[in-house]
Parts: sequence; C-alpha cells; structure tokens
Amino acid sequence: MVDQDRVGTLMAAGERLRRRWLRRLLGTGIGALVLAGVALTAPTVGGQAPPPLPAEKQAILDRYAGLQAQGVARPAPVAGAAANPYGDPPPVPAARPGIVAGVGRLNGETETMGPPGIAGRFTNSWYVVGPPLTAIVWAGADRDDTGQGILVVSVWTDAQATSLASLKVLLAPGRTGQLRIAAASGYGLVLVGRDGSRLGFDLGSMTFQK
Amino acid sequence: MGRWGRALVAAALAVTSMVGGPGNAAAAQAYPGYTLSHYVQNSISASAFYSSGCSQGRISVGNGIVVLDFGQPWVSNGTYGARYWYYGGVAFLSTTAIATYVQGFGQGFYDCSPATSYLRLAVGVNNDSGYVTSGHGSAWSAMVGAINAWLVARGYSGRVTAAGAIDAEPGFAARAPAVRAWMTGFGTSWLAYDFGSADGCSWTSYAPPPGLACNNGWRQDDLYYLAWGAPAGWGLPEVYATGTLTLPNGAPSNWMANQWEMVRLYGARYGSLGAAVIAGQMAQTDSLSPQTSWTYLYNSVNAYSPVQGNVRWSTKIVWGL
Repeated sequence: MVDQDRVGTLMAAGERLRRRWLRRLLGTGIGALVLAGVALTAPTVGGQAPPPLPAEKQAILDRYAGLQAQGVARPAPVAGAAANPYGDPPPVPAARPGIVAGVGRLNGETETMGPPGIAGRFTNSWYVVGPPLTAIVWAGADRDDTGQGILVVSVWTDAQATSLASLKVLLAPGRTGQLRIAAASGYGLVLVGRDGSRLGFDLGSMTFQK
Repeated sequence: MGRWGRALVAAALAVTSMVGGPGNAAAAQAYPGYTLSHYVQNSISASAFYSSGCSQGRISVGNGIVVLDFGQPWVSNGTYGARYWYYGGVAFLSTTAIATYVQGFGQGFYDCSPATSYLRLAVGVNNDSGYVTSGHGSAWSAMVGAINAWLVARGYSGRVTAAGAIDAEPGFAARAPAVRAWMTGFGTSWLAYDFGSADGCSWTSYAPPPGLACNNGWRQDDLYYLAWGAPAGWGLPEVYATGTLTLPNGAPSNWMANQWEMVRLYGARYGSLGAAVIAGQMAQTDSLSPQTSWTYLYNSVNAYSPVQGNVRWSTKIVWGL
C-alpha cells in the first residue's frame, strides 16, 4: 500500500526545494528562462496542473534546470551546420584494421551480436565493407519458431555504414531450423541448417538457392 | 515479443475493466512530433555523431529526447563501457570514448537547431550481458555527469542535457535483480530512461506486490522500479506491436502500451512513488508509425483512473546514426 503521509511529505519537501531554488535563480535575473526550462520538464495534464512529483525526482529535475540555466546564461556561439569541427570520418572501418574492400569476413559464434529489435536467435554473421556495397548478414532462427531459419540483411551504399539502414528479415525455404553461415565466396553465402540441409544465398539478388 | 504473440492480439480485443473503471479523459494532447533515436553501429566517429546531431537539430520538434543505444554493458580490462554493434559482431567502447561521441552529437544538435529547441540526450545500454551490475550503473552515471559538465563548460547546456538510459527487457540475459542493481547503482544525480519492453507482463491487470509475473521471473514491480520507483528511473517504453485492442473507453491501443499501463497502475496502487509518469514512447523501424505508437500509449495512460494526461515525447529508434 502507498503510505500517503510519506508521499505527501516527500512532495511537500520537493516543492519547497524547487521554490527555494527558483527564488535564488530569480535573484540572478535568469529566472524567467529557468521557469521556461522547468516548464519543459513538468507538463500540464489536459489543461490541469499535474500532481507534484516525488521529491527524489523533483530534485533531479531541478539539477537539470540548473544545467539549462547555466547554458542560457552563458550560451556558446552557434557555429552553424557547415562547421563540423571533427572533419571527415576516418577511413573505413574505424575500429578494426585489416579489412579489405569487397572481401567478406565471418564473425564467429562467440563474437556475433544479433541485430537490435529483431526477435531471433542468431548463430553467426558475415559482413563485407565496400565499395561497391557494405552489408551485414546475420543467420539464425525465428525466436518463437526455431524450425524457421532466417537471415537478417542490412545493406548500405556508403562505406562508413553509419547512416540509417533498414534490417530486412528473410525466411529460409523449408524447415531447416536455425541457420549458420558456413562459408562465403564473393557475395554468395553457404548456409547450413540445424537439420543438416545446405542452402545458398546470393546477396546481390537477395534470394535463397537450393 | 514474437510473431505469435503479436498474432494473438491481431484481432481487436475488448479489455474489460479488471483494473477499475475508465479514467476521466483529459483534453486531448496534440501529437508532439518525433525524434530519431539510434542503435549505434559500425564505423563510428565523432564526425558522424556531430552530423547526426546536426540532422536532428534541423528537424527539431522543439523539445525532444534522443536515445543513443550503445549496446551491451561491458567491462574490458577493468574499464567500464559497452559493446556496440560492429558489422554483425561487437566492438568495445569505454565510457570515456562514448562520452566523446555523445558530446559530438550534442554539439551538432546545438549548432544546427533553432534557439528555442531543447534536447534530452539519453545514453543507453541494454541488459543483454553479464555486466549489468551496480558498478556499471554507477560508472554510467558518472559518464553522464561528465557529459553534462562538458555541455555546461562549452555553453551548450541551455539546449542539450544528457541522461542515462537502459533498454531493460525481460527477454534479455540479465535478470531483474541485476537490472534493478544497475538502476540503483546509477544513483540519484541524473535521469535514466527505461526504453525497454514489458515482455510477458499482463496487459489487463495487476496484483499486489511484487505484481503479476512477466517473462523470465520478472514481475510488474521490477518494471515499475526501473520506470519510476527508482529515483532516476523514467519510462520511455517501446511500443511497436502491430496488433490492436480496444480500451474500456473505446479508444484504440495495443498490448505493449497496455502492459506499461498496468505497470503504471500498479504503481498508483502499490508503488512507493505512486503512479509512474511515462515520459514518452519509442517506436521502431518497420513497425508502427511513431504517431500511432504514441497515440496507443497516450490512449492507454488516459483510459484508466488515475489518468496520466500528457505524454511528452515520441521517438523512433533506427539502425544507424
């Protein structure tokens, strides 16, 4: 059960803290801006004032309001969109040497991390860094139907492969079970299913080949 | 959540008022517009982060949140950090390196956005590793503090501030006690947004502590703690399922949104800090549109008493910067 007395005490304490803090800022002449900042983090509810936040949370929001106030008081000059101070991206790939353009590499089972947001069980993965294209292929199975082999493919035309990309989920024909990438040649992959069956996959056409 | 789970609710379901009567509908809130959040992957650089922040600044929704998800919490040679998606594999980044990239994103946003805009930049990991610990949470919070100090020192903090974030999902490797420890270790200095799902939790009801069961031993109380019960915790749940359900007040929603609504109501009834305030919603690529996702969550949190009212933020997480 909620201890209403405790909650009420905490809320009151938070409100006192918030008001004391705002009074200090008003004294610095930037209170209006801070109030705007607080408004950003304390929405109205359908036109009604929301209930006070618990003191623990209000204290954190007050800390953010303080950061905002400091930034408003001493804003940096705006450099503009063309002023990327970091220059061009480093050569591809930035984090690991020895990558040869157009030559694919296989990630072992212990070093594979499945694509985010895809409900699958992944065995291993393969990637190639362009030009002409940069691609990642994950092999595995549907998380809820492990008899259904799947590939997840992501392709970029920029070699950095940091830009936005879609993840395309392809269902393997038949009931192969969880797939593993066994070998690669160019943009063609050799896949082995949990049932021992072998499949080909052509990255160029995005098709399976029996 | 899997395909079959989605299929089960593809037909419209009328959720009965097992949790009490419908709430009083608040005046409808206009959709706030959405930002792009990012699963960080492949050949990253400060330049790429700056450009991505600049792009977000150009399409600023005025006041928004962006999550930069750096993958698995990790420790390498005693150094805290994360393993992010590197060409289907993994690559380690220390918290120091991550801070540098995040600062680049914030700087890009500042340089390219209108002066009236504001961004909460949430630096995220998931709970899919064995390094989801109190120590990692503490290190993550220290990193957020360092980013904020940098933003203040450079004069950016009027328009950009940093927070932590965790994609906490019952389906991932680390179980509820470890994730709770991570959040507790994160402390009380900064916000930490939970942008996970509530896999296996009820979308129609809740029960006394520790609440109803979710997947892998999680309970509703665990979700509540991460999204509100911990001082730093604030919910930004994933809502991407394509099935629909009809709420008691007739409004449309889906089971992912209503799972979180049951967690919110669990808090209202039993939580130490009362009803959770859901900060916003996260959609994913190739699923519900951000506006539909947000609308479902908005409808759910305003369908049962006590209603939440406004849902501040909407974001869509995408693969890449």
